[in-house]
Amino acid sequence: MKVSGASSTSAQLNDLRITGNGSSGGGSYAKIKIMGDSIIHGDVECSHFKCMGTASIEGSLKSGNVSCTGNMKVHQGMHSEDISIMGELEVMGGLNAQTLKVNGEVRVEGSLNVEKVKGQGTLSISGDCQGEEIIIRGSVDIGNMLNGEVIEIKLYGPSRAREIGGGKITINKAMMIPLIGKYAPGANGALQADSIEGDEIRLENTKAAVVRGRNVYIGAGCEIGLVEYKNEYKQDNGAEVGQYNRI
Amino acid sequence: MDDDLISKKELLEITGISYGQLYRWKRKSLIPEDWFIRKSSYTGQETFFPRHKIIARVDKIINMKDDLSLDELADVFSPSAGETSLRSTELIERNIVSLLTLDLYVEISGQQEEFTFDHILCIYILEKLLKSGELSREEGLLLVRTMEEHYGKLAGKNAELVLIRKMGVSILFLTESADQLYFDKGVKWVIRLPIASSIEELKLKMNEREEA
Repeated sequence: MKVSGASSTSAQLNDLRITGNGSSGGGSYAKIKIMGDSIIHGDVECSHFKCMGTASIEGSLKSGNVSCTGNMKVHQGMHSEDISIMGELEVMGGLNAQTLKVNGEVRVEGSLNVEKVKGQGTLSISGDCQGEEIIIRGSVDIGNMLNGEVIEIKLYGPSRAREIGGGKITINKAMMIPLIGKYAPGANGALQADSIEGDEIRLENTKAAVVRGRNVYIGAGCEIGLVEYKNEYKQDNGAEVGQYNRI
Repeated sequence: MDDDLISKKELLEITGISYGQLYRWKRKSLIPEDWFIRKSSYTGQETFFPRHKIIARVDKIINMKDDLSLDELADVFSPSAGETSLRSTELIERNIVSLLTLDLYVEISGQQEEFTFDHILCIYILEKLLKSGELSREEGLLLVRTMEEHYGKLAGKNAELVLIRKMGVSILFLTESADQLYFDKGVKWVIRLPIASSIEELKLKMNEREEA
């Protein structure tokens, strides 16, 4: 185990480095770098947080940029500017950030508030997921509302959201390269929602009770109970729509 | 008290806004979370809003969004206090409160170098209620004392100020929501004032002057 606090040139704050197996009590630092396995018993504040390996923060994390290759767990809420995750991030108590780049899995118990989310993998949020731009290739599981100016989901797995609302909502099915002699049933992801409301809506492989919007396109593989639209409505032959009304 | 609800669909029809706008405003907290009321209807779940509050709010946003950015607007509507503090001369010069009210306030709680937003809010509410004739000077004293002692605990929440009278005796209190309060017949509701609306008015009044 090696834990060292080297003084940093900027603003009298020290850096924290943990290499190997280590733990820290938390506090304010300039940069935190973790290589290996670490536990931080308390709240942390820093300008940069870098983790290669495993980090578990038992308090809250307030930081500028966060990059993590590996596993990271924050127990009491996280506020950051730019987050980039290769691996897994779990946050209890809400996650607020400017941008979130995911390559892997992000789980939040509470709500996720970001300007921009982009990535591949799984997003699983127990509360609301709000952002200006939410672009995901993979699957989402949103306990409450998915709210974004631009929402684009390319479905690579079973997805769910109670309510989706926003400006432009696009749900696409995944492009699968067919493997010769191999057919994986249910590999195409599908999305399930109670209601989807937005200005521009394009859906594929989506099951929803109600879809409301200005311009609505219901594509192949959709099962929609009721569509209400204002300007334009188009429906693919492979879609099942119970009822559609112009309002 | 406020059982009059409007469905989301009807709201969009009346106000002419789009789903995108509504959700954008929700994201920016221009419309408080607790105004979104979910109820079951024949299509499953539907969202409803308190009719008068939401229509007034949407009208305000539409009218002001050309002058203020959405973030500035969010600040106006936020129930949390503003940052500013002002001197007594500024309060008078900028016509935020009258000298008469300020004197009364100073008489009750002492002279201050600078007034924080919470103080100004208290003076503003005092003036508003005195002017409307609902509040007597003695009750003004109650108001200032109560606000001073307890408002801090409710700051940032949608607090309400309530004044009731029974047999000429006034009782004034602050509460998070006065929706579920029932009194005996002899009690008269004199004032029921949501603090958030006064904060809104005050912030607008202070902003106006800054720009002018």
